[in-house]
Amino acid sequence: MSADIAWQVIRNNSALLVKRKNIDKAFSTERFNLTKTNSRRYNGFVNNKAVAVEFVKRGVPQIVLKRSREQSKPASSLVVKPLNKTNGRRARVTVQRIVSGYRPSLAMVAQRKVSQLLRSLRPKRTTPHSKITAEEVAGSTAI
Amino acid sequence: MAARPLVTVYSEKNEATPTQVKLPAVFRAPIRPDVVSFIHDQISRNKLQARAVSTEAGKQSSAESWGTGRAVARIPRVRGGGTHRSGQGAFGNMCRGGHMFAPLKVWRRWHRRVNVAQKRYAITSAIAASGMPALVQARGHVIDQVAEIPFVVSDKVEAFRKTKEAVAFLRRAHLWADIEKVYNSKRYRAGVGKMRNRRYKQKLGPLVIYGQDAGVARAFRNIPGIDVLNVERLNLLKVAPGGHLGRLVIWTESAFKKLDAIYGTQSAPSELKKGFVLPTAKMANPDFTRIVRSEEVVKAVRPARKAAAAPKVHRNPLKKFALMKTLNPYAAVIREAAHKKQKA
Repeated sequence: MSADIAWQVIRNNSALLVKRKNIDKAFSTERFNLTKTNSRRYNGFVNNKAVAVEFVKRGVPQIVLKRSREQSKPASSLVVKPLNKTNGRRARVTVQRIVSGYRPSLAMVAQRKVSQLLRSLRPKRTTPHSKITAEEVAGSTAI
Repeated sequence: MAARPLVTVYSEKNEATPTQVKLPAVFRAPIRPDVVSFIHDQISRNKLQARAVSTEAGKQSSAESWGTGRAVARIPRVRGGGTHRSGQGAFGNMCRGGHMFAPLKVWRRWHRRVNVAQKRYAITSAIAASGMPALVQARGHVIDQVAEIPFVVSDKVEAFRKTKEAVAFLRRAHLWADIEKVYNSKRYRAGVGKMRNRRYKQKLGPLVIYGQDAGVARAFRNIPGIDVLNVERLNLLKVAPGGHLGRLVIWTESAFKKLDAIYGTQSAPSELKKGFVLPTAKMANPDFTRIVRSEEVVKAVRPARKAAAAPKVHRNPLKKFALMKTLNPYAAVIREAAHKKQKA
């Protein structure tokens, strides 16, 4: 039925709602929630159109969309689009194209999510960047 | 009113049969979590057993006040001597070993009468909620692979006699994931209930609602988390456990077909519940987005004001290299050299 009614039921309690002390904006761990915050816009259950950007296995992202029609048939209501791209820029562009044609308001967030996922795979920098000044450069390349 | 689509009946092997049933009108009843929560709370009090303190607790003492003039408080004190107890205060709620304030009595009003109409409203709301996949998932059920919500199965399920058949059916229907959730949730209860025969707690799984019991109750009852109900005697405490909407329900075909007779439709009152007509919602069309985007509203509304030009966000060139390059093209050279130095 109505997404708005469903939201009114779920907004304050649900199995995947995470409320914590001193945190005003609750989290919500549904699969189809892009930001994992509890909000009408990003909720994964209530919206007919929702996007999930996740890893299939480590390093292989995929994007899953909900078919906006058959909401009463959970088994056949998802469209999975694997992203066989480990390059963040390529993945982001693909995601942008897919999601802006599907639910434009989520496009930005989806791109951010996929970039975040792929960036988390890159090894963390343990040693700081080495610094160099313009004088050193000029000195080293002086003819 | 709201549309009533056709629901496919699935065989006990989870194959779609050609039979399709029109969605019973109950599923379009207004969803009222406030009503369901309140009525659930009221009804659940009806199973309470009286508890009280003993009538003589704290009163079985011959203590008497010492009166004034003895430099002690005027509370009644225990007579006699030769023991620590002598001279101690007695009887008051503030005294150790005295009676409590307002001793609990068994004649407290434990149970609640609930109006029949309210009970019926609550149950129709709960049934309607069980037909919304969003609410069923939000309650925590695992329904990702379930073929359809509401899930209607052929009447062969009613004739199951062995738990084995029931388990095989649940596995085939992709409902076993919900049962596994129940298995994984079994844990010790916190508190003294542990030693009062309530040692374990676990989540609830699906609810099986049948039209006629030819063995189904016995086949399913031993599977953890499962409850079994006859469609003519639905229990709000099982359809909306905890007062929360959206329990996963498995309907048998005959149970599903009986719903229109039991609860009535928009045009016909109930055949089995005297004088009962399905509740109507306050809003015929609760879809806010559609209302706001509808032709009538858009035509009547003035055009949106252009938002004030967003202030240009000042980004930090030290953090945003692309910006640094436009300010100082030599920065690219420096960075390249720094990278080379890093590698060296």
